Amino acid sequence: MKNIRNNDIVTGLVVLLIGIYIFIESIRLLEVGEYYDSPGLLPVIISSIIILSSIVMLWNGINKEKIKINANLTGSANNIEKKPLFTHRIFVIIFIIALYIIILDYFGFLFSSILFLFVLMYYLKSTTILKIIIFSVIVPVLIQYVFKNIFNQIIP
Amino acid sequence: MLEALSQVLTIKTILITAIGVMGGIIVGSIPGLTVTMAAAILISFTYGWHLVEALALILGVYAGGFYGGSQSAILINIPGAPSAIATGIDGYPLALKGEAGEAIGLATIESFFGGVIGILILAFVAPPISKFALQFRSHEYFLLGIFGLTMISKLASNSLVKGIISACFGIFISLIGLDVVYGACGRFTYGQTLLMGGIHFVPALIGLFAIAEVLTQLEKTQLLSSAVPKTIGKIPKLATIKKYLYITIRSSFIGTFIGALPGVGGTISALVAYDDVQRYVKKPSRPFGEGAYEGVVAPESANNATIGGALIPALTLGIPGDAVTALIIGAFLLHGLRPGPLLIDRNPEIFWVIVFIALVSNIFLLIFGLLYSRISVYVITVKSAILMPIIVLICAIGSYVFESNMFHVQAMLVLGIIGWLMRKFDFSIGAMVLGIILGPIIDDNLRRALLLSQGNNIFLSFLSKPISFVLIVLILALVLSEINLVRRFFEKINIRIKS
Repeated sequence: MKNIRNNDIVTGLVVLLIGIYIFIESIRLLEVGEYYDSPGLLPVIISSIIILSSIVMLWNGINKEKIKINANLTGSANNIEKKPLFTHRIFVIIFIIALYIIILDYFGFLFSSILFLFVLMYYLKSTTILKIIIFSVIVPVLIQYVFKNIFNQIIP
Repeated sequence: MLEALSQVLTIKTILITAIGVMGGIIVGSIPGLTVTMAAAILISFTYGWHLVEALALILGVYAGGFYGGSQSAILINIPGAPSAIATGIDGYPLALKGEAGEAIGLATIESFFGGVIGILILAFVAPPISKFALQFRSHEYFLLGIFGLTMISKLASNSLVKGIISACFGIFISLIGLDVVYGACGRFTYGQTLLMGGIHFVPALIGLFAIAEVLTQLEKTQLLSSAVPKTIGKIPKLATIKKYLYITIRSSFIGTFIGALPGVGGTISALVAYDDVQRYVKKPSRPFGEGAYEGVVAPESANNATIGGALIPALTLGIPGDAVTALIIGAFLLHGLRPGPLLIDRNPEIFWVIVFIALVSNIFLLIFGLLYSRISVYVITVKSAILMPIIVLICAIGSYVFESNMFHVQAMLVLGIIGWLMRKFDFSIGAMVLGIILGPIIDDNLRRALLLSQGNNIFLSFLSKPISFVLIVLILALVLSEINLVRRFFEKINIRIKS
């Protein structure tokens, strides 16, 4: 079991809130057409299932928490080192990828990709600076050539 | 059948199949790259291709990928693909004993046999199943979709509840956009023009499989691989192949059967086959876990046989057996065909094209598998920190090219982040993907079924049909088996019967 924390409680709550939101939106869709062929029918059904399932998840999470507390009280719990669920590193990586997708539309594939590869590989310390520069230039050029000239695809 | 053979035996198709198999072996052998990721990206690149060529590439990657993982499992004890976990248990000790060449040769031959047996079973079993499924109507299709989702939620997930939530979110994503029946009504579009076209399953799959994997890999600290021995795969002697023939056939049947269960895939079939061979082989060549040849034969024949098994429900019922067959269904949809009983009935040549391509793929697997071992040492040790950023580039292009729309690239990233979070919190991506693929089928058929009954006696209309009734019982059995009270009740009955 990864990260014995209140993951099930937190995710259960988040899923419950999302389920309730989808349910409310779906109820409005039920007004269109008869209920049995309405566009809101399946969304209502699945959001109801999501809500019920998230309640079960929350219940399971709360039970796990009770077992953990009892184990702590009796001293029978092992000292489980809590690893952080999220690291700073992954958020930076996601940010770099998101930025790449934004600039892709403005600067086109080649320039955006060269910049993206350089920045990300540099951040990840993938290899030496010289190799990073070589990869950052050669790979996008190669990919552009293959997709434009061999596959005849339109790229940004 | 002859028409299908003539379509497959063209130089172009054979070349594409060969490229696919080689690509699949390379992808499968590199830890961190997955066949599913490669297939998801290839779906969009092959969008404008002829269906036969698109299938040739994807099936080639599929066959090669399942096998490719065994090379790194044997050489460095890090399976390139999850389906090779069991192979490494005895494969790596063989490499340590200086028999890496023999292990790779055995893995290659057994993958070939397993793949061929799986495809032959597909060829015999699929047409009668398809004929039977011609009786299916809206009620049955709706319930079949629900059954497929319930099955994958149970089998591919640690928790049925989380699997069901994933599947429901998948259906929800498929419903975004303008309603098919009431065209002016947008579902969860918020007046945005971009959302009215919905979230296309191609960027969704690329995001959920490929980007999620990239983020998961980059989050880890890098694994430095130990020195990889240079080796050449050695073709086993005929006597060796004959000696393990029974294991090969038995494990291939296991792999095919398990592959036919939605959501299970090659990993489970290989592990089940390994477990099975441990139990019935009393005198292995060496103790299991210390380089027993049987420990390589069983999982390798099972995992490639899974391919044939997974294609059975995909082609006959439109329910994918694993993630890659879900993508193959996607390829069909992109080309305007819907897998299911009508596919084999109206386009039998397509079914036979798949069978022949899969057989040709296995022949190339045999050739390339042995040749690849000469260069695998250079490929297997490529760092994730170099490979993953390049994968992001390919994913971005893959999501953009098929409709030249940046919105798909943005959707890919959002779903990629969702997929990464799902892995973190133990939710099944497979269930969500199946929900995305089956969502429209479930929606259409539910509404059609209810329209036929005009909203009256809904339950009776489902229960009065024998096939629907059986499907309802199966779905309930899957769900109720998760409930502890029910499980304990049946255990007590079992104990009473035995006593």
